[in-house]
Amino acid sequence: MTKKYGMVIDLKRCIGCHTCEIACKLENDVPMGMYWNRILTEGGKYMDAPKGEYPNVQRGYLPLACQHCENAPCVKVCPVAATYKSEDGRVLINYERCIGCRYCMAACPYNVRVFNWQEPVRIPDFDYGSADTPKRKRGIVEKCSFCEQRVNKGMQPFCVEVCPARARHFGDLNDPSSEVAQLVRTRKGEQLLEDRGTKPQVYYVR
Amino acid sequence: MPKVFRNLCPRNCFSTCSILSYVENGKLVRVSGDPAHGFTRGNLCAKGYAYVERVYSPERILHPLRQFPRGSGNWCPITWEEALETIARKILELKGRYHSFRPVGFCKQYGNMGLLHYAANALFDGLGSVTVTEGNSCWSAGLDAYLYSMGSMEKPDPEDMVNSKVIVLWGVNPAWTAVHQMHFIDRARTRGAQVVVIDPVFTATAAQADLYLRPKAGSDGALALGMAKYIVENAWHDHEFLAHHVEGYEAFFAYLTSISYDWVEQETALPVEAIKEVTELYALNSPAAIWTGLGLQRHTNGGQNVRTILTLAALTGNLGRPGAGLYNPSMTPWELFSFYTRDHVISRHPVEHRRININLLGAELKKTTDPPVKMLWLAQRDLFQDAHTGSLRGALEDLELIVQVDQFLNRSSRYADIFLPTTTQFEEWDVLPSYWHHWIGINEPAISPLGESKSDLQIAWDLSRKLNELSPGICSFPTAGKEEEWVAGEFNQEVYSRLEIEDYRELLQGPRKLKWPQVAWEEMKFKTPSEKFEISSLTAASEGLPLLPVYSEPASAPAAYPFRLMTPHSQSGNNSQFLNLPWLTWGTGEPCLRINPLTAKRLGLSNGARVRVYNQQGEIVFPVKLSATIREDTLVCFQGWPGSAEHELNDLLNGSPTDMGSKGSGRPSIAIHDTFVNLCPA
Ligand code: SF4
Ligand code: SF4
Ligand code: SF4
Repeated sequence: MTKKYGMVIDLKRCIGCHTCEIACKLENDVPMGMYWNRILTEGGKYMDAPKGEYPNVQRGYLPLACQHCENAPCVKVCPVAATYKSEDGRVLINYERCIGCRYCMAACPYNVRVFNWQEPVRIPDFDYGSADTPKRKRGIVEKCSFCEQRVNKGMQPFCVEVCPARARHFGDLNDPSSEVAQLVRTRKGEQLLEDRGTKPQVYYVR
Repeated sequence: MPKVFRNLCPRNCFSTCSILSYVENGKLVRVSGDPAHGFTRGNLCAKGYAYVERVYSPERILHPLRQFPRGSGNWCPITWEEALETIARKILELKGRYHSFRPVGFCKQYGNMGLLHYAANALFDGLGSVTVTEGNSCWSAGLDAYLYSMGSMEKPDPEDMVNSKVIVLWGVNPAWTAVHQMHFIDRARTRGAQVVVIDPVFTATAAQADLYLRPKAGSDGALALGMAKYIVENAWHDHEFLAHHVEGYEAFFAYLTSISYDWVEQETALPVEAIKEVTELYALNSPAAIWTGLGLQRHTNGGQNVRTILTLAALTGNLGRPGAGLYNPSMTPWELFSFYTRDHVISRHPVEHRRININLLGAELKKTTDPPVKMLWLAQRDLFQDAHTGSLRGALEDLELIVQVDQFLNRSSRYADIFLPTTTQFEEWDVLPSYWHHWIGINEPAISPLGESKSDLQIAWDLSRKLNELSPGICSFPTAGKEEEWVAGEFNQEVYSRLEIEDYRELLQGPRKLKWPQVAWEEMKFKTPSEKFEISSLTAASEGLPLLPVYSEPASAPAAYPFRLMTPHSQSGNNSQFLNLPWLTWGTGEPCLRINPLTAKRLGLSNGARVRVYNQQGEIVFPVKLSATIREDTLVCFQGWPGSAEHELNDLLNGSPTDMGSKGSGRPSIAIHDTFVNLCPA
């Protein structure tokens, strides 16, 4: 059977430390003003916002990046097939092909794609991250690629490797014995905006 | 292909991570955690992954600068030669004028904890007696509580926490400040452990707890007494253990009969059921561990509160066994090292410096007159983290020369005349142990020093050379050397045998764990005069403290200033460090004051409303942010906000000392969380 790469994020474990967010920025050479992977706080826009009414409060986080949808609207709307579904189930972008029309950004219900309006500004002012991280020029769309440069070599996406709470898991959803498939099964993985029919390959467990 | 080097994160942080640094064409392009490190296990924190930004930040200072006039922000590049000559001539001129080096002041803290960063200490030792700051603003009161109870600050290997059945995180927020420990806590939980968090703030760690208690800040001692009372009443204490290993429990038991649960309830604002629940959990599920946080002891009764908490472990025999124990930072593994750099001079010629209290720097500078301090060398430190910032400004203005050694300008730079740029850990050799885990790594240069920056050691050699050029023989600190040899000097046979290596260079292949007891106090030979755990401490009594861990009243809000202002660590910074990096600005937004929603409603304040926060010391204007994480009588502003020319957060601190601190670190620290304020719409 072909692979279907996916991710499971354990919201019970996630401590909202933002490590994966910053590590992703580093690994993927993401310019200033952009993040491919963000940690949303369930209670509000501040990192420590609780949910609920005082004194009965809780805190929760939602790490959010591309959901690598099985039925990806971004893939459908791309007029030049720059965004495509790879054979192993990842939604990737051929940055050379992208013409910057941003249809995909409008189509994506998860607001996880970012666009370089200007010449990318970086601090430091050179390309950082892994040497084989794809380079992106100005005027194109970019997003989480499940760290294609790493996964292609059999490694885990960087956010999975760096999570100090071990809240992130990556693997083949089609392999019933994989950790991700088991987690989805045993802990009832939830998908974001399930009603949109996008069939995300990123699952959240609580 | 990038070349990979090993570095250590030298920040004042529990984790002391080993870092793999990837270098291409001489540039640091990537960092990652080091999988060979058994505690950090291949991870850094968010700040750690932002090092690539920090090293190359456009704000980093890479050339010596001179500010003229002081406070103008008019910083002009000067050469190292000019900078060193100005400094050396000033030192010599002061010596001529006062016939003493004591007008030269030296103030350094923990911006970089590397052993080679003690070079500046040794440089000043090389002159003779100067004026040095003593004490620290961090952990002094709690440290003394441990010293009175057990005689030395020894704690278990934090990896041993996986064996605990109950983990009490008392005033500590590892989800923000020690992320790597969360893994060991989670592992214990997978094995069935229960996690209790006790904190006046509902932290990210509290959100993960099985049981969360929110006592009034500063009332922790009352809570611990209530717990002790309930333990004894139910005969849950360990008779055997008490009889053999504990001093003074009978008198303490008698004291416990004098307190009532009503009183505990009133003091802590916790329902007695919650107090009983946590006690039952702790006393009946052995082994149980308690980790005492650092914020907890920053109260006028903080030391005594910690002492009371520690007795809970003695009562239940939760010491000296896997999974049990009391956790606090500990410098014991540090003491194995040679301190070749720090003691370079004093190991040969002891020096008596004049010592002044770092926590009251402004006032202390003003009152030292014979001879007065006229020059200050400021390293790895932002003075505006102290109290009494008002008197500090005046005292700094009176000085004739202030030299700052750092990587970035900070709030203190307004008062500096000369700024000397120092290297980051990626540009130098170093070694440093951890005050938490037992792993030792090595720090090798991965890239060349950026711009004209120099390591602290190089700066010390260069200044000694300059001084000796101008006045031969004036400074006995070396004038040149090889950094790597000084790293070698920090090691010794004892360290090598505990690491099972023969040469420090073997650590370039990966950090190693010290052969060091996993469990503290396994032999049950405490380092107190009685060799027992001293609930009753004659040492404490002889130093003017209570004999027993009786309750010491917390500071309470005066009528005019009804709110307690707490300034805990922020998530994206380490004290004043990292907060200037745009990568790390998530969710911090504009500096603001967190306020309980009920309080805000009562005062008619909505999110974003600007308020004037004031007390006798000063005032500051902030927008408020409603946050249900705190009590109605509490306000929170995370530390490290840069402030403005007129107002600093710390202007509000009155600098009351903690009850303990002199024993372990020379001076009490500041009761930073006993700051009371009022507010009104701005
Ligand atoms: S989350 Fe958005 S960008 Fe990612 S696959 Fe789905 S629609 Fe496309
Ligand atoms: S690194 Fe892990 S714990 Fe931290 S925010 Fe990301 S998913 Fe959550
Ligand atoms: S700040 Fe602490 S956790 Fe973060 S990289 Fe440095 S040592 Fe590690």
